[in-house]
Amino acid sequence: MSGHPPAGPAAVNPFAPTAVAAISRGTQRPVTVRTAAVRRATGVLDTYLAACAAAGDGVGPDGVPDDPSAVPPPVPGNVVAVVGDYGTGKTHLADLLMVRLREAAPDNGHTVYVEASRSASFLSLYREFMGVLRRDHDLPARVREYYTDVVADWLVQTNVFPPEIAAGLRGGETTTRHLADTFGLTEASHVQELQRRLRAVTRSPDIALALSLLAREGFEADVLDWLGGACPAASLTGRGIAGAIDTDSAALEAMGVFALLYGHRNHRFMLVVDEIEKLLLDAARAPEGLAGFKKLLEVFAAAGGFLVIVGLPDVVTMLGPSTLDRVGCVVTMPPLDSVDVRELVLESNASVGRGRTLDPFTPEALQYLVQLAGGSPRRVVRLLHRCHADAVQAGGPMTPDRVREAAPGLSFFTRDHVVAAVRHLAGREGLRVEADRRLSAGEQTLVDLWVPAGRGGTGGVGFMVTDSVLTPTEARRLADAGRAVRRAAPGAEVRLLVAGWVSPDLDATLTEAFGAAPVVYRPDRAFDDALLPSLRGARGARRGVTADDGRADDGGGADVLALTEQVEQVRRQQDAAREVLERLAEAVDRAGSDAALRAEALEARVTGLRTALGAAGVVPPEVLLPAGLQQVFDEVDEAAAQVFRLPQVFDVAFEPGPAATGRRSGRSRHVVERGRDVLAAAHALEGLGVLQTALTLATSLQQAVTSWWARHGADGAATTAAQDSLRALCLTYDELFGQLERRFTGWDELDSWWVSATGDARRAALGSSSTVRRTHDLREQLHGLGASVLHAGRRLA
Amino acid sequence: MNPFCPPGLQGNPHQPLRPWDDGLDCHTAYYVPVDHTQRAFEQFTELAGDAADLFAVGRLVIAAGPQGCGKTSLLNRCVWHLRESAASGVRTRLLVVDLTDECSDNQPVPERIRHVATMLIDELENMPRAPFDAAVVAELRVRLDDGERGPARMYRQLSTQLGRLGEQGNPTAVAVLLPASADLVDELAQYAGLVGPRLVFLGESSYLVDEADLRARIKRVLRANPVVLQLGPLRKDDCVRFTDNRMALHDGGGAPPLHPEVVATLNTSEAPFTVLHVQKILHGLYEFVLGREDRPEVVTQEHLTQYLLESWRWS
Repeated sequence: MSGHPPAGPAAVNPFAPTAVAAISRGTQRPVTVRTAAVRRATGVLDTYLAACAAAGDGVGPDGVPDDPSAVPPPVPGNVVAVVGDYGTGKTHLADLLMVRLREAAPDNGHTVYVEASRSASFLSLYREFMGVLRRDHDLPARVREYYTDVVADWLVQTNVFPPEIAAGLRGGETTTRHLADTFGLTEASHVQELQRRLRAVTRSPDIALALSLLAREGFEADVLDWLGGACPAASLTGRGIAGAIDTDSAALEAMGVFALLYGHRNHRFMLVVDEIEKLLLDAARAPEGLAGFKKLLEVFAAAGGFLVIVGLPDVVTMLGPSTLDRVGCVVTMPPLDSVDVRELVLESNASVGRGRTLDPFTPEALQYLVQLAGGSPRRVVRLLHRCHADAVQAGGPMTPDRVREAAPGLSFFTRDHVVAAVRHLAGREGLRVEADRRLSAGEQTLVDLWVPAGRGGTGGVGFMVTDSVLTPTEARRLADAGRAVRRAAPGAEVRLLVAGWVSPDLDATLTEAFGAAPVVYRPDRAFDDALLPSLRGARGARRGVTADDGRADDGGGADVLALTEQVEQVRRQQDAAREVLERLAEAVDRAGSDAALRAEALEARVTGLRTALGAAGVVPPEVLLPAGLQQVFDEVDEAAAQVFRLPQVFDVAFEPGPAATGRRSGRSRHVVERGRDVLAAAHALEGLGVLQTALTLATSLQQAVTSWWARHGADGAATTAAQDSLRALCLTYDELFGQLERRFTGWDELDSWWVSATGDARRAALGSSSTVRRTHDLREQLHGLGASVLHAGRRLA
Repeated sequence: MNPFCPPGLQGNPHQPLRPWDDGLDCHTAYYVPVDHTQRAFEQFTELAGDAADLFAVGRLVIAAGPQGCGKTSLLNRCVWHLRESAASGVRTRLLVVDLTDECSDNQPVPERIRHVATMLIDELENMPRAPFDAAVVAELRVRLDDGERGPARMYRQLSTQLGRLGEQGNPTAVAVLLPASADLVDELAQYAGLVGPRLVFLGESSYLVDEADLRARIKRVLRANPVVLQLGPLRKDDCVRFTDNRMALHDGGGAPPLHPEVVATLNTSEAPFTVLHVQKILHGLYEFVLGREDRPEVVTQEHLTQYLLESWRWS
């Protein structure tokens, strides 16, 4: 091997180092593996583009529109949802679609990319969208084009002007200003017609008016400021525009109109909203949120726009069936297989002038690499980049062994994934799993996981978990261990589980030693199917066990066993907690369609969760959250302490009223009346229950996060797996709180009730507005808790 | 001589007729009963009477209708009529101040109103036989500078000062031709509140077509409701009346006659057409024809088509 890296194309690394999709603005296609998902999405886009091309601009060569009295109807648009887990290439696909559209329509293709993660609402998403339109200086041009059509239609309709004039106007050979100067065309009447047409597509006369002003000189800055969310300038208030665009519904309305403007004539318009799940979580909390989103989908499709929403697989559930009906195509991003990656390498090499070659990778190396990456496109590209760099530096072909050397720690699936999957499966089958079980005193009889079955401690299923098996030496070592375990526990079944890849030539050795083929982990049904027969066999054997808990009673190494058992106990508790959370999330999902779900029922479930977590002793007492995360929960506690103490509320009912003079009968009557008033207030009890439940839920999240921190620690928290896990917890919280928040409609009444219920004295002490403010703050704190935790967790990384 | 260029407007033949202006009395002959202008003018003369009542309380007169339908020309005719009536009837001197070109569309309404007031004072100060001495003008400016209420205070003071001129034996009134309000209906509503005795505002809007809409915007009770003169696009045969008028007035001017088929073409437009469209097209057509070496005997449809095809490109 040489220490001198080669120069020229061979030295160029065709793989991106971070493998995070970047949104391009040009028309150069990114290297893309044409998976089924990519083919499907591009197919839908191509159909749309073909329809646009076939429809033309609705104007014949003589300048006569098909229907001179109206704007040519837009080609039906479409909505495509691209869903997939992190790093599966969703944004890359969205970028590809945008490039494809610009490529197909270099002069009249418009693409806008916005990230919902930067937006807390449709309103802020809209403002970002407007920011892009403004940056591109495109909106006034679109309005003027629309205006030009109005004038051209009029020219045709008069029967006075030869058709060449309308065609020339549409084609940019003349201007409306020139025609006004020459033939007396009047701006005002055409602007009014423009306004009339815009009003036909928006319920907001203000938006129609503002856009029509863009066709006139001198209003552009004021109108664009207003469309961007600013208060109307005097030039707009003088024309009747009184307020800013400051509600979600107004924002959605405006976006729909823009879709029409951009989809007008022969233009193709694509809006990509990435990380849509973040927006949908918020939208789902407001009754009108999803309805508004549904309307946006409708308007986009009707206006001839092409909307691409990109998000996690949960998006499909979040949208619900009625909204999904409006999505033309849902594209799920699959993991890459070795054929895909092979194609990716060939294409990438070709893109840097190296020809369609796999060099420096061997086919086996690519197979291994795909396994290491779990098929995740982002990880695949990252691994390819690192391996390619290593190959350039050291020379020689990149083999599986060298892939492992070049990319330590980059394996997507780790032993932890495998262990977690086995535990999950066993738990589902009602089986207990022990960790690091030694089946006899011998050194080589340790199994990573043990599912006991039958008396005596040697019946059951043992699982040995290993990283990739690439060399004969590794295979031999594992085969020896497998044989030793089978000898020590003749009644046991032993399976080899692989987090990674097994070199095909070593497969037979391992199969012979373990009595069954090694199972390579992948998070799909195939893995479950491979393990379930063994686990079900163990369950069948356990049915005969009555008193025995399955613990080994070999007498030797009791201390080690006890310690192992303790460690395992903690892990089980953590798993149990996670499962409870998952079950709860599922339950709430199911309840999503049950309008009768009451806050009390949800509270009972959350309380159950809390009890389960508490009983399980999930978090070792010495585990403390890092300051950033702890602060998030402290802020909730503080807000709650400021506002909501149930006893305090009821204390008020027993306070002597101003009319009380010390006579028992008078005081009693007052207390009863006061208490009755407190309880009778609209939404009072329900509201109290909701707030209490929400606080319980927050506490549960804190425990789950503490457990997460205990599991990953400072070193592990930054890993993608840990961040994914934290994200799942936060999303679960968000979903649960969203259910609570959505189902309780009396928030405003609750605020004022609280003020009245806490009595004049407290109001005087705190100030009623300040109390309401604090009640509001608590709700806001709870509302944003998931996002805050996630943010604080990311900062750890 | 182009038949579609009224006298006195050679520099800009498409300007509105201005019979009240010095030396342009002849423009009265160029008013043609098209797109309801005659009816609107009669509505105004009936209301104005001998101008005494009109001056007693002041008035806002609004011409409303599509751009190019002759609103400004109509208001100029109304001013001409008012001045004639005032001179012969109540023997009042009518000062006409034309501020139609003073503001731009995108200026805020308060700014526009203040600007018009400032320009009005300047005009009153600088016009021949200025009605007020320097002290009165200074007082008007002081009132105008009084914050938001400035214009209202200034106009009230102006009305008072005009009254004093009457008491001194010089009855005087002011007619202000306001900048076109385009779509600023609120601005017109505000002028309705600034009206005072001996003060007449004449404004126009290309967007206002609903008189009830304007009245709805005027919240408080006024001493005199605004007068709204509604115009519209050309009606059937309006085009014929217009061209007949211009060709008749031109008789002997040397331009070839217009073939009826040209007029018929313009008269049968399926889209709303205004008198400005006809005026501009025919003026351009005659410029085109009169500029040719082979000047035709008659201006035909073919000439029209040729002119349109040769003129539409922007360069």
